[in-house]
Amino acid sequence: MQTMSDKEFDAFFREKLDGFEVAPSDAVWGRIAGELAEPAKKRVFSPLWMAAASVVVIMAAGFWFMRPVKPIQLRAANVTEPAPRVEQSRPVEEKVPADASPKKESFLERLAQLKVGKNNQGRGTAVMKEKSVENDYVQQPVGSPEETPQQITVLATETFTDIKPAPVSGKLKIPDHRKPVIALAEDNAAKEGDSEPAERSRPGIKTVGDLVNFVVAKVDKRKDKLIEFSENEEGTLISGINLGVLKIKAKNEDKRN
Amino acid sequence: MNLSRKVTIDELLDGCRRSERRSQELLYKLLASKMLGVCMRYAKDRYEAEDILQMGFVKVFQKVKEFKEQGSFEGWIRRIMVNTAIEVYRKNQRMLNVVDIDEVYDMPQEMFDMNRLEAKDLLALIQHLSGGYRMVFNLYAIEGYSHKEIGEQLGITEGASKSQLSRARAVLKEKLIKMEGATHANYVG
Repeated sequence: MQTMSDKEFDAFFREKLDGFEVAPSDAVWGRIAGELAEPAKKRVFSPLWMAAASVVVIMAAGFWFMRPVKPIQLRAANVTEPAPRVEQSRPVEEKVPADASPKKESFLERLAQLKVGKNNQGRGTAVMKEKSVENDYVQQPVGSPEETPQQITVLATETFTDIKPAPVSGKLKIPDHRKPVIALAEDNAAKEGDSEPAERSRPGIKTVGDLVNFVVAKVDKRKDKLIEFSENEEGTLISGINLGVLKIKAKNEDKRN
Repeated sequence: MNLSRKVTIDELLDGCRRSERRSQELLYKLLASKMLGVCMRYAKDRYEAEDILQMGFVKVFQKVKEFKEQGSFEGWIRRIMVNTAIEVYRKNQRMLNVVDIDEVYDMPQEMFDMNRLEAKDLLALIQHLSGGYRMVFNLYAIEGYSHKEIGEQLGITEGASKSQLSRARAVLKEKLIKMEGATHANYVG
């Protein structure tokens, strides 16, 4: 063995292996014939095509996520809409500054949409009542000098109980006026539908819930999102789940819808 | 015998050029065993060898129109098989790390308890070489490639080809000695 040169060694292997034959399994020809029969099929699934397809998918996803600018602008145009209608419906409150009213309405609107728990809804209306009371106090000094002489004259002829309802009903009327306003705001919100997610994400992303809402709103354009978070005193809560077949919404939102 | 076979292959060549399935199948049946023998030397096992055979024959039938009748058709097919084996090796090398030299020496001895060395025993030895050694030894010792050609084909330097060949020989010799001992030494001379 040691005496064997490299050339001899190579020749030994070559001679032994040169005529070496092994019968392939029968399946091999079938595979060759199959490959020859449909070369097009192989091309369709070639890595190059898959790479190209994945690039297209990634670019499409990129463009999809680049879109948020427009919906926000559209939303801004919609906000101003409810304001003039509200003002028309109550000419009594002309003295309220023109700038203040739309702000208040959009705030209430947001309250109505964002607040979920029953307590919150109650709190929302309570806030409104307080405001209406405040408005009345502001208005009363204007109206009272005119009314007081009348009241005095009426006092003489009519009973005391008859007089009382007049200012009370005046007070009550304003909340009555306001109720349709709330209804209006809610109707608008219902009509807008698609812009609802934009509204929710608009106040800014402060919590994880907001972030999830924002992302979900971008992906899920349905009215009821796949998952929806909302804020209340207890923190961030899941207020809605929509799995297509299974829909769960917080009670408060069910009432509205 | 040899002449009649050559004529047959040339006849099949025309049929293959016309993409006739019958001629393709006959050519395959005629050469498959021989070509699988070639592929086996380059593959680590029979399954890989059959994969190379399959890929090689598909190439043969797809490129048969490019065959310029320089040299024999069989030799051309054989070169395609070898080239396909090189292709597969290079593809695998990109995915797997080259086996360490130490690992080659530590390889367990198995199934070498034959009194007489036969082709399949030598084949087993070659198949147990690490990829790079197997390629270089096959191409140089059996196919007759030059180190320059091997370097180009495998994407290594000529010097690397030389050193890998001598290491491959050393590993093979060591295994032969362990395997056969005195009996083999007498047989080889």
